[in-house]
Amino acid sequence: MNAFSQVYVTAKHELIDSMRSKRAVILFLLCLVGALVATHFFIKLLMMLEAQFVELLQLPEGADPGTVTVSIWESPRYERMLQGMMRDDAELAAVLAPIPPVSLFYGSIASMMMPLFVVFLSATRIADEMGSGSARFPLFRCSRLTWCLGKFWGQAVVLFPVLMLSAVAAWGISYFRLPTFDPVTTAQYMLVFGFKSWLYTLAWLGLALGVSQLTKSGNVATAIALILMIASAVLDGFVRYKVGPGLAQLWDSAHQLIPQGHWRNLWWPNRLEFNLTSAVMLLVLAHLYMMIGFFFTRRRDL
Amino acid sequence: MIQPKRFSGENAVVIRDLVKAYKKTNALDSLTLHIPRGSVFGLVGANGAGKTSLMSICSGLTRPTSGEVDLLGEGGFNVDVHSGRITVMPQDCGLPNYTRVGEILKYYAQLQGLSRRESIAMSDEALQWVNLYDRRRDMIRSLSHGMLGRLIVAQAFLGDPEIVFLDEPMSGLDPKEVQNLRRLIRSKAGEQTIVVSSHLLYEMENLCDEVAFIEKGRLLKQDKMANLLNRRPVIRVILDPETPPPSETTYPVTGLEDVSRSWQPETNELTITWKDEREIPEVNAALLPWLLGAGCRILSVERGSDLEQVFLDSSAEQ
Repeated sequence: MNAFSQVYVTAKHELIDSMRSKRAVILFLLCLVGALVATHFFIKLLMMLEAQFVELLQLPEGADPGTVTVSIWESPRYERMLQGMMRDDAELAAVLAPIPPVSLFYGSIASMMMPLFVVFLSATRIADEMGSGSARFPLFRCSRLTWCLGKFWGQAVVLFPVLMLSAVAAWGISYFRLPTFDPVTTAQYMLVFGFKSWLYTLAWLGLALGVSQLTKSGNVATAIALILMIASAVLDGFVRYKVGPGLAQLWDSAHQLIPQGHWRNLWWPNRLEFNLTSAVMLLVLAHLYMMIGFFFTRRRDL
Repeated sequence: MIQPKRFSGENAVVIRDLVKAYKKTNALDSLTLHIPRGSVFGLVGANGAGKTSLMSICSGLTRPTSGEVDLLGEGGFNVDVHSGRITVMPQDCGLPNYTRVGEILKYYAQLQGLSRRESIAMSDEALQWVNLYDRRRDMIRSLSHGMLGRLIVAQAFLGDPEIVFLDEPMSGLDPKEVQNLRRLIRSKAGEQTIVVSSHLLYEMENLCDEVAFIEKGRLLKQDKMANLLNRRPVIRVILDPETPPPSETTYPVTGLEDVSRSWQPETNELTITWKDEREIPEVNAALLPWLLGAGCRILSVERGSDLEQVFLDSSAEQ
């Protein structure tokens, strides 16, 4: 049996196992609740700003609901807020400004939450199987590399519908509460950002499964993955705000080795070359992290 | 499925000077042995003797520290070469709880290279062998310990492998299932090489064609079962507790003067051993009239020594 078939068979089994063990359901519920609650509060915030605008501009009460929300969206104030969200990248903020804010918000929250959920739920996968000994059964039938890659892609496939369904749920809330936004455009952007969040999460999945190969304890693997996640956030913040001109190149290079280093390029709308570069780099990172873990798995006695 | 050419050499497994060192101990210490093709081969040894390490190395799950392993004449375990041709039933391993019984076998069969259709047929057949076919749609977590053991045995026979390593396969099985497993293993002998480790030496005695005694990672002795059991001739006679064997003073011995006799009143067992070339029937011809003449009531006569005694003797000789 060739390597691709072994990856496929393992991925399929991993996918089914995720469904049966309810890990996929838990992940979906976490995402759904997260997306619904966050979107709800974001819309509430928009409504609050709208009320302030009405008061400030002394508009008549009979004006169409949401009219002012559109005004907020198109206002320089919103653009400045967006610029802050986009890490002071004025160019990126400017190109994102016309996108419905609720879609942008969904994208940002999904790309923030999913990596955390994935680290919690996936870092145990290989470690637990090594610990319980169940990894021995497939590992005299297929290579350790194809088995690890199968685990990765099985988990990756689980994440995709989870993100898409949570996007649909967030769109549902915005559809009923923000009727002034074009539902089709909002939905389109939500799905695009859901897909981008999936690509971004793949790198974190690679990290989680790479770490999962370092130990036979799922809890230890989760702890290490969380520590690495925090360390990468510190590195990201350091590179963005603290690096002086002298060592900037060195730190920028280090930044390329963490998923956050490729987040901004992924978000550029209508710049396929940026998006593709970022997607490729995130996939490379995912496999790089896996390979680092695999270095231990390759030589490990089971 | 394209069937690889089956190995036709004399020995399915050849081990030379195999060492597996852990931090403080050597699980295998220059172990050398060979396993004839098509035999049911027993690995006998105390806990920690190195049986599991040997099986793990032969199935590629553990790396040897040094030494040589030749499987099917094609060198050490290589998943690209040996996948599906060498299988193992590892000891004390769990299976994914949330997978169905039939699905897990199908998954393993597909990993070995069987098509979807073949893997379904093969897993159904394997489940029938271990009497679990009616549980094929159940989750693994719903199985009892013994059933799980049988499922783990079943996965080792998927896809008609050439060598099957079974590490303590009888452990946790009820007597009926032990008998069924014995029948399954015997039915595969000749066609497949089956290596079994077990602490149930009585079972090994009935099951194996050849046995290797391993102690502290070294080979103590390897021989055919028939040779081992006949090499040290023993007759065991169980008597009625009311009629113990007579002493020489109360009833003279005729023809049995040079054999050693030991009486164990706890088990009512009279054990007869001798060192010359006499055959068992010859000794019986003198022994049984002597006992009957003395008025002993014979409940049973068992031929030969048991594997346990041979193992203990071999171990003590070292």
